[in-house]
Amino acid sequence: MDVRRSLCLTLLAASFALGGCASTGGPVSLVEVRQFADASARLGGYGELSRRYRDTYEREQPYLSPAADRIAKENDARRRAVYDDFVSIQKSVVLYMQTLGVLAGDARYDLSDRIDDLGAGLKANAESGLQQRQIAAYTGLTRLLTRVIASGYQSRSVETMVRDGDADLQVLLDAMIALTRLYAKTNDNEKKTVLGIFDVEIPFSTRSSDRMLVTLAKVHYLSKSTEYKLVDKRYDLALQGLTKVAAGHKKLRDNINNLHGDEVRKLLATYARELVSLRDALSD
Amino acid sequence: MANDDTTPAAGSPAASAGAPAATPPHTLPPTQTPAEALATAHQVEELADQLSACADSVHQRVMRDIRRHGDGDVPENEQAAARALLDAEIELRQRADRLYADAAACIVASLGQPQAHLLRLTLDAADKIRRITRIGDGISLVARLLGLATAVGTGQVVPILTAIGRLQAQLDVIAVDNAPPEPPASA
Repeated sequence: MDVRRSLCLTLLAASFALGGCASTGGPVSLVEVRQFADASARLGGYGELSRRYRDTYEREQPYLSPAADRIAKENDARRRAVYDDFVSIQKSVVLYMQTLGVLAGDARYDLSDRIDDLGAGLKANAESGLQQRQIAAYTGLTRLLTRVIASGYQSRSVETMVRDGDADLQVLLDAMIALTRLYAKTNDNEKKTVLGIFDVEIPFSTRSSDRMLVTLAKVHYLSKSTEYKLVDKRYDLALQGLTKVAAGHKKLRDNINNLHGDEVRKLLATYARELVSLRDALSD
Repeated sequence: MANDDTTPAAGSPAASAGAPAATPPHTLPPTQTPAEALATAHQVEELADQLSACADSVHQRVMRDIRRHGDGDVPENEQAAARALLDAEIELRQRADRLYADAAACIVASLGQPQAHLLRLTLDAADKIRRITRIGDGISLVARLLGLATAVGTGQVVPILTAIGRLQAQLDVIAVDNAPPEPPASA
């Protein structure tokens, strides 16, 4: 009994000592960090456009002269040789963002449910000899204590990850942006190769016996140019998304000691919202 | 690296269709920092942009010649010339694409270290997540043990069996949480 009472007092003292920390930090809420990290992890576009880049040759091969085909084959081999590297960059970034999202998530750090459960166990234990009032106090204090400890742990973990990860993350995002730009430029050459042949050959086919061929060519041209128009938009969306992820994480890094500030939280929420709508646009 | 690329590439716009596609094999510098690699890649990319722009102007030239005839027939010899130019244009685009591929390879070659570092950070964080999960699991385990003690105190079979069941369930949860992490391949 005495031991239990002194335990309660110790807990009480400890909670007062830690209470100061808790009140300055406020209740832990890294909701916006989690939203931003989740939205960043789910941003689409890059993976699909990497695959499209890898498969360039398959699409353009029928339109190539033998001389161009020789170079194209070599280009195909070069693109395929580094495709796995393109993918692994994205995987590192996605994994980082997923983990940051979990780390900033509330669920694991909020131990209240488990402590309520413990309190119920204490209450029901007829042998404990504890008064109801003491049990309530004990449960309350434990809850406060665990929350303070866990929340400090959580904030510190998020801070460490963001602070130590930013430089490398920015390098990888810069690389993804540069690669996406190269994909887009290669796609532009593919588009002009495919459509260019029809630009030239259709005006040459003026005999009446060419009529069906010209009609088919025009239909093909139309569907191809629509396809390229849609794809062009995706490069643009993917680039916008990657740029936003980079800017958002930079903001996170710059405000690492002030993650609970209203302005930062609002900003991160905006980034997360914009990333979600970019993702929606990409999945259309 | 940029200079190595300049020599063969600068000569290629003059090359007409059917010219041999011989270029000396590329050897990338073994270790560049990511920033250096990006700068090199950017120079290669600019060079490729120029080739693409050349191809564009060849195409414009061909189209201008064709349009001069309006709806009328284009003479055979002009058709042949236009086709030759088109072939040259397409070959230029392939040469530009080669440089774009070189630029891409140059970028990814420099990323081993940042990737490894980021992965280590991610694994550290995953470890912290597991630790906090264990704290929570520990609290629940104490609650289950207390529950069992209470049930034993009643001396009745049904509550005891229920309490043992709940204890077993919590031990199962702990076993799952302590299982080795899945390989991070789901991304």
